[in-house]
Amino acid sequence: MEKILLKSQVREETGKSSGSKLRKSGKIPGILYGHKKDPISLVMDEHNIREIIHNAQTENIIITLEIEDVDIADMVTIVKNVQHHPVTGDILHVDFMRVAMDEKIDVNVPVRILGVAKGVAEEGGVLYHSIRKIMINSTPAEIPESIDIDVSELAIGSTIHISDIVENYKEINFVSDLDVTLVHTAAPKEADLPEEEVVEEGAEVAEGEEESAGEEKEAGKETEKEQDKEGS
Amino acid sequence: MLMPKRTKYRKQQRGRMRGLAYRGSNISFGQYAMQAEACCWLTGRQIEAARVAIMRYVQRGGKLWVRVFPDKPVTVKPAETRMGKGKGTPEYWVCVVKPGRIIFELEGVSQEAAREAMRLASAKLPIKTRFMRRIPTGKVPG
Repeated sequence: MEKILLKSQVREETGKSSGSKLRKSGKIPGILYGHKKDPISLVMDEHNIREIIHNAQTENIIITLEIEDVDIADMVTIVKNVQHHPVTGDILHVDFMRVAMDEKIDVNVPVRILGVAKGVAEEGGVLYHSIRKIMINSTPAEIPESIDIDVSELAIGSTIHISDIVENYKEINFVSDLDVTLVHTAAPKEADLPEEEVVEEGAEVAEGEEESAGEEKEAGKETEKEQDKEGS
Repeated sequence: MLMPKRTKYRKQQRGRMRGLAYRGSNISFGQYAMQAEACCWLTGRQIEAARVAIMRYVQRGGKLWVRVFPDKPVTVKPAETRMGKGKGTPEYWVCVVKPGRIIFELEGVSQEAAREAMRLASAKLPIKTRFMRRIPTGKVPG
């Protein structure tokens, strides 16, 4: 596994205003926690963390932090959470969790679908992806990039559960419930569309009259209700 | 038409549309999504028109999630009425949408089909929207 280094500094000021000042100056606020030690507020260069996160092959990125003025060698962490701006997608804040390389942790690993299901390609069905992440228990070095599922033999009505892929990943300790459905193929459903209107003119006029009559009735009901309220 | 089954109060104040949609701004269910780029009141009628546009395009394939629900009543005073005499009657329902809000999610279709379906649906809405797709690694939206 490639060792990723990230330089950071301890952040003295906390809160909204200092956070926005940092972001304007090209820095990103973050926090380091875990292992029952006090959390440390951090600040890092926006460019460096963006490069690491955007170029990562996995969602569980193991980063070795180099914190200025903190005398701890090789602070191994995992990126626990990244907050993004809802519109621009810029990184707003990063959470790091301390990990030990020999200690097992629970992490979510993305599920990757390989191939095209038989039910989709030949029978015109639809492949539904029920869950996209599986929680596993593993040491940081052994966390897989993704859990791959081959769906090429999946016919319409077939399902793949987590229990079906356990054999392929004997070295992985699954924490998620084994009965959970990962993917299934179903026949396409009829689209829920409004009924097409009849082209006949007479029918249209009749409908229009009915509608207007209905509206009058509803309006009448509303006025009655209001009158009742005023009366009470 | 989308509207609540029952509400505690019949009428609401209008309020302001400030800020961004921090909640409901991530793709949660499908592979593709439509994200609002501005704030607006989406009426039940507009949501339904956009939904129908998507379903007409994707036909039998695909699954659609509508991530917004019009739960805010809008009152209107009758035409040619003098001011005063109380608030008008509830006429329709809206959903307050802020920039970043995911409006629809789609799965089970190709990216081209999803993009075209979202484009057609976007024409039924009063705001500019953006097409989004789920990216497996890197956690980057957009």
